[in-house]
Amino acid sequence: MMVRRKQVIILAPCTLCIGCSRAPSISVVGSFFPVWMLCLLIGTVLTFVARILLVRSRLETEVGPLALFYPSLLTLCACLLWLIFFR
Amino acid sequence: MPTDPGIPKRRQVGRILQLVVVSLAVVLLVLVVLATDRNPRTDDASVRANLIEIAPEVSGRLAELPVKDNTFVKQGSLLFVIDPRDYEYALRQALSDQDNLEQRISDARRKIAAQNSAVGAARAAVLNTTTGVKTAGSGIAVAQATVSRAKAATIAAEARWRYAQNDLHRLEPLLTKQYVTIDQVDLARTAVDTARSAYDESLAALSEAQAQETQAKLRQQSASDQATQSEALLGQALHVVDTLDILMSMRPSLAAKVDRARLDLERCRVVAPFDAYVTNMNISEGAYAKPGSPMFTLIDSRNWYVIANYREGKIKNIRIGDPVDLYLMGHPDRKFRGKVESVGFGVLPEDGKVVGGLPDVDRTLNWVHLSTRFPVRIRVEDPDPELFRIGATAVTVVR
Repeated sequence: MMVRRKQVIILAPCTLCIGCSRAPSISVVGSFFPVWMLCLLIGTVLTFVARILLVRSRLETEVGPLALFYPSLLTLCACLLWLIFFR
Repeated sequence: MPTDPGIPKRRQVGRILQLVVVSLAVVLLVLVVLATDRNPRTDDASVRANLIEIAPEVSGRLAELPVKDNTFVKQGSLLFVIDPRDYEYALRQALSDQDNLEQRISDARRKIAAQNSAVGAARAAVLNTTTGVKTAGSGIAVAQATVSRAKAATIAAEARWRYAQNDLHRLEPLLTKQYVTIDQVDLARTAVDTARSAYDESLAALSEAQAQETQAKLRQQSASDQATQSEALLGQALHVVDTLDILMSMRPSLAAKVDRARLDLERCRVVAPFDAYVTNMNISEGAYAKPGSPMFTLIDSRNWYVIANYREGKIKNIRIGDPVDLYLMGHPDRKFRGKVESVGFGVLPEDGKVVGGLPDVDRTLNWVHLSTRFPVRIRVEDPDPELFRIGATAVTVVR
């Protein structure tokens, strides 16, 4: 378990560096949307999931001002997705 | 209120979570900003290639049109054929003109040879008449000698005649005294008559010799006239000899006409100047081709470019020769390699209008200015001929 965690910790920055070779635009019904919109959308979904988890574990009240925490979480998720897949 | 032992721990976890999330968000945001700054990207890019409009150089109806719209043609393959008959006839005409000139030249050569012979004949005639003049001159000398001789003979005859007369006059008085016989007197008289006739004869011979002299002089005159005439004839013959200069000077002009006709005939067959795609072709056989008016378009498939418009703030990180990742929006999963070839040096400025001789400057209170974008020309290094089309949307990332 510890070994796997270590591997993940080591490999995570590597995935950041490698990125993925896919066009940084997405075609939706004949229009091309920039990928950061997609990242933002998925980030929002992930943030909602995180909020549900935080509420379940009764941690939401402990993470400081929510107006700072959730936008930060959203930014984190979106940037992470962008860096991994579309850099 | 009972203190829950889980609360401080949860609070601690919450604190750490907050700290990690906020700081990581800041760090990743900075990373994203750095990444987009170091590797500028744009989706405002399109595929380009050089293209030419194929226009014929001669006019006529299209006899053959083997190519079709949107097909690939190799360099040197036939695009269309213009009805060549007009140009074949023109070439034949030019060749016949050239042949005609050659015939005229050889004809003129023959004529010149004949005229040269005439010159030779005239020259011989001149020599001949000159000799005639000399002969006539010697004839005069002969005649003069004859005249002199005749004169001398006349004088001698006259002297003899006078002597005979004197003899007779001496004898006649002696006859009366009978010192001489009649026969002697008769003999003397006969001698006088004989001498008289000899004298007359020599006079006649003198006249004849003088006439002959005159005749010889006239003959010389005539001979010298003939010499003058033959010299004049020689001069005429010399001047009459034709030259080839005019005909020769026509040779290059006719040769140029033949070359021109041949070139026109070659131009009836139009071939592809490079590997290309045929496009914008909306004609069939029989279309009338006019020099300079395009029939259809050829897209040069040897080189493909992407023109990407980058904001002026990003231009500083784009250097000529930088590798570029290219994506076509039609095939977003395929990555192509490119290289920055050049960065545009000018776009049309928004201001700078001049109205009525004065610059037209808007009144404005703009705090936010949109940055200008410059076209960056990127050469595609591994184009897929199946996928690249002029005007296709592309996304570029300069590495």
